[in-house]
Amino acid sequence: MTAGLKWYLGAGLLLALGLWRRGRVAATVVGGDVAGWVALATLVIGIVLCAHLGLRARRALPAVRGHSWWEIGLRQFRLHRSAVLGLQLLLLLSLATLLTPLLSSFDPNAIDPAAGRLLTPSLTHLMGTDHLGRDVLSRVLYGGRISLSIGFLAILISVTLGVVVGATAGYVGGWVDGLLMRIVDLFLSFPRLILLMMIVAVFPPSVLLIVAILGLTGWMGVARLVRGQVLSLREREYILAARALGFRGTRIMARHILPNVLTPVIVAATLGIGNAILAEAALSFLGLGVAPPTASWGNVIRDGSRFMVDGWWITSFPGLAVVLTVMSFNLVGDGLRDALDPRHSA
Amino acid sequence: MTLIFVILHLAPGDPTSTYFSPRIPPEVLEQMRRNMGLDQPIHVQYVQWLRLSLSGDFGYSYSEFRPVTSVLADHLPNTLLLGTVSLVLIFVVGCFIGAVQAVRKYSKLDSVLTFFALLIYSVPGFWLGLMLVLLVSSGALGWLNLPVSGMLDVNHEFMSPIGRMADIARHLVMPTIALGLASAAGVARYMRGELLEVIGQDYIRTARAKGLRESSVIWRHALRNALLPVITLLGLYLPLLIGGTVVIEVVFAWPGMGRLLYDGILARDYPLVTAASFLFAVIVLAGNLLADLLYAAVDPRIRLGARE
Amino acid sequence: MTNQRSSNSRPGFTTRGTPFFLIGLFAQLGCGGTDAGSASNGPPVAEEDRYGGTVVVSGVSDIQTMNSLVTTDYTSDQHQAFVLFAPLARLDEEFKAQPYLARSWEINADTSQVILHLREDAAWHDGVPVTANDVILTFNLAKNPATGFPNASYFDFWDAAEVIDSLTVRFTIRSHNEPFFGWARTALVPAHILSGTPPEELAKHPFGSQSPVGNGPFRFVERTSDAWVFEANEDFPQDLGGRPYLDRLVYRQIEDHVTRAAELRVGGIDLAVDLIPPVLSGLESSAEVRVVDIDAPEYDFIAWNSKRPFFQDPQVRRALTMAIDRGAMVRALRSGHGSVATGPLGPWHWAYDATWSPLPVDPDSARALLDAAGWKDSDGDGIRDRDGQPFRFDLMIAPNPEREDIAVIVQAGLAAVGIDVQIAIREVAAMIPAVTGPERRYDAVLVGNVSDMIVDERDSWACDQIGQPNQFTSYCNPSLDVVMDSIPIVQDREVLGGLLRRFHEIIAADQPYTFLFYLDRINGVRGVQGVEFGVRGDWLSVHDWWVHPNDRR
Repeated sequence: MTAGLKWYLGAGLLLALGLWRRGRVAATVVGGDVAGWVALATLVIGIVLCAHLGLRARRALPAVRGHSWWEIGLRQFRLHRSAVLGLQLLLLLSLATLLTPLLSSFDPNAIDPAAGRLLTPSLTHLMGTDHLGRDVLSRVLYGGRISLSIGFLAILISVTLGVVVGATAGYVGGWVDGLLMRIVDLFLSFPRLILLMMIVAVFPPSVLLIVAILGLTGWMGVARLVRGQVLSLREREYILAARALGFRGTRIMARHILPNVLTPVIVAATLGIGNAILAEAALSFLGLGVAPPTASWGNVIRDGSRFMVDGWWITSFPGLAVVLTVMSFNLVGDGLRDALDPRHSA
Repeated sequence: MTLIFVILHLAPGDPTSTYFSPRIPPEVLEQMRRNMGLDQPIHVQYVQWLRLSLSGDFGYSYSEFRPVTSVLADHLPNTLLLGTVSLVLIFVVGCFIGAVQAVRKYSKLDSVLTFFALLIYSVPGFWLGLMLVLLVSSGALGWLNLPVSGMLDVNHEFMSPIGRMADIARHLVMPTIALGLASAAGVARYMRGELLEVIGQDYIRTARAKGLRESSVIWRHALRNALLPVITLLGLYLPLLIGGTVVIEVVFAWPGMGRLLYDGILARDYPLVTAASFLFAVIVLAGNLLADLLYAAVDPRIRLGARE
Repeated sequence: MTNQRSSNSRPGFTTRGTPFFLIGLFAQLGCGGTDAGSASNGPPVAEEDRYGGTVVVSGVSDIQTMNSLVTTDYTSDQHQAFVLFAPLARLDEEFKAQPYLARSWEINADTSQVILHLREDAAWHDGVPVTANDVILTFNLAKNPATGFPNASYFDFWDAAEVIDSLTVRFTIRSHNEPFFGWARTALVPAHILSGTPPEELAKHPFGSQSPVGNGPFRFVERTSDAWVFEANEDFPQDLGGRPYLDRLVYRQIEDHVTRAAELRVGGIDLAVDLIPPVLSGLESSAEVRVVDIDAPEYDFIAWNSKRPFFQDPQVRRALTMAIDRGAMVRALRSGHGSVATGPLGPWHWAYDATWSPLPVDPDSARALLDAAGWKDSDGDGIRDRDGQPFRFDLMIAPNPEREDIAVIVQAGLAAVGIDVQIAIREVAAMIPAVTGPERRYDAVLVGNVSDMIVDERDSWACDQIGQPNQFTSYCNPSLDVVMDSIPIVQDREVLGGLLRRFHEIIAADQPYTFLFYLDRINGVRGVQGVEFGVRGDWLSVHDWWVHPNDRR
């Protein structure tokens, strides 16, 4: 059985599971919140990517010559065992967060302070219950939707902003470059967490606000990266040729430069999601994050950290989820970088 | 700095908000505000503040009841100490582990270290700090007899000079680990990659071909060249480190600027927060400058001022 | 880890939950003061061997200033009242003021005049004697509006002071109960240091936090970035007990509750005040640490903004209270360190009536009351409504884990009776203007209150205070006004007790607040002897704290 087939089979199984508990899937996805959609999107992208990788790898393995750079990259990535492991972990995770309502039979916000508090992990409550009697597994799963969504959306904003600023600075050059880069320096020189604390102190915390500020404070790295790439690409012969042919700047940018910048941006974005998730956790830990009773990994950790002695499980499982997720993103990011960056070909 | 001033003054509430009590009549609160100079319109406050800070006077801290300069003078060295020690830890430990991995590339040791580096890199610092505190309080680390908070022992002033240094060092252990470990793992990962690349270069092959001993090849030739790009990481990790001090200093009650800033923001202590954030920005900029200078000093190819 | 500066357990509202409690019987035990640390057996230690040693105390908030005229926080207040200063009066176990630094006082027959005599042997730590000038300066500054003295209300009934001789002062006062209460809470300030300072500049004088000079059992040594250090005052008047046992007393701020508990356990600190219940199980397993519960004059409550249509009807407010499982809060969040509240007076107060019982948790009655008030689910969406307006509101809280948990329990309880609560977290400094501002931009707010032995809550409840910052519920009941008007001026405790109970019962019936629970304050002691905690404060017996010679650090 080929690797690709495996993934297609997996998707089929999922579909079967979905059909089996139709009502709940519909409730999650169709009537779903932003978090549900983000999880769905991740899942689809992930499955397609994996299946594609698997099939491609089989075909691409015998020969390198004659294949495009992307194909070689994919092959490299496929060979990168840890990266594939990371990807699989991520898939599992997005699957779990997407199918949360199927997987957990408990309402993440249903409390039972009388009889059900601080129960140790058991078959009923796989991860135990917290100090208010809420099922930790459900909270970790639902929290994952929020945390992952925050990570994804924030990084979407960051990357867009970073590419626009970086490309403009790199391509236009001159005083525009100077000005934009000074702004980047300004933002970079100011510790992100401190800026976040101040902003959250001004505006009432909400998921959208956290997405916005994480996004608006995370773009500088991408901007620098893109600018550097654009700067070096700008002087390449084929660009000079395109320019000599009289193509307009926007076209050169869109057709010839941006596609070549994509690789490092994807890598940076993958690594950035991990950071965004960590930042959300730190903010929630300081009490400035997502408002209760909504679970996010950060605030489940925070809730549990007080009860560490009486209930290690409350805070350990969401902590583990954060570590695993961030690690997966880093693994995938590393793998992508190694695979797509010709310098790193082993 | 102006930005910080504006953000803070936009925030609802002012320093007197912390005196929330039905026992304090409104006219007394008004008077307290007047005594703090908060009754002036915001632009007047701004001009006044700007004029004073340009002359080096950062104003008066309402939450500490003393001049901001005196508060900062107390706390800045502590944060610098914690930051510097963490930086050293990050780079020494990170580079060493990275180098070991690169030399033993694809060995079992390499895989294990790679895995752990990645794991640790993904652990939130505050979480690690919390776990350390718990380990201590549960008695699991009792044999180490390490303090989990503060910077000085109560009997610090009665100790010998060496005893004092040892005392501070003991207090540094926990916060440094919590603050620096993740970044150290990051450096290790980076170092491994750089060193591997350098080892693949022609001049290393040449050196080997000349018959130099392997250790000499690695430590004399490869390592030095691989260290170069690592220096640039300094500029990258500094803001991260400074941001991290806020949470870590709060968890370990380290008497530094991060904790000061956190308390200051909550207490709406405008002068303190503006001055502290300004100092943070200065530290980061100075760190970046230092990294640039270091880089230029070590790498002859870089000429400051010449672009492209 | 949730450390808000506003954790002051001084009279006033708290926005950070620092609760505590005991249930029933135990409460009485915890209250009267507990000698913690008498656990160490072995031969008794002779009086003269008790001298010496250092004690490190740690709490959530830092000491802000030693200037009693600008202080509002609990920790500063305690150090002024018991450590660095010796106030003129001190409260005894019945909470009546007794002379302390003052040798004595006489009040004339129609209570319009007080003659106060100072003791000759009292001196500031720099050697200057304490004289009538110090008393006059303190009094004048406290009365001067330009000072902005936060506790100005202590001296509302005190009109003027004049020097008779260097140790005697005459005050003109108006008749009221507990007249010397203010002097027990407000330390003198030294005239020879502060007399030239304009009142507006007092807060900035280095006396407050850089070079304080006191007149109490301990003198100021230094303030590091880490700690406040005090040492024994060898010259403390013999009548007041002479020098304290301890050589040195240190105060350190450790905001993180888990860290503070860990330090106590490993011996980095000797006494931790204001612990939270979740960290206790780690401490209770330690042989060296004793955990002490104190009935704190503190309770958490939800204030209903009666300008909102939902909260105008007392019957609806009663229904809200009955729908909220307050017992669950005590059990789940306080681990039993507290008790369900019945109203503004608590078990700490001498006028408290132990037969009072809280409104029951009774969702069915709550539903019936809501139905009767016209709040019915007419559109079938699961949420009650009236005149097309759904019963849906924001509950404002400060970012504090315990308060968040309380809000979650409130939310669940009200959801069960068809009311939709949104939890709105606001930072303390943002929350207060929203609540106290004239527009009352809030629906309901969850905060705590630190009460006082002197109950004068006109600012919070009186009809003529509506529109003022502290009357934020806009609740009005003329019969309560009559009671509150007499409370400050009645001297006889018998009569006063009746008035206070009447006050409590009216408020409990109308439920302008939903009173959630009374807190126990939880302190941990490691090896310190002679420690007595109580409603009067954690440092109450600091003069008599001692450490067994074998246990000294």
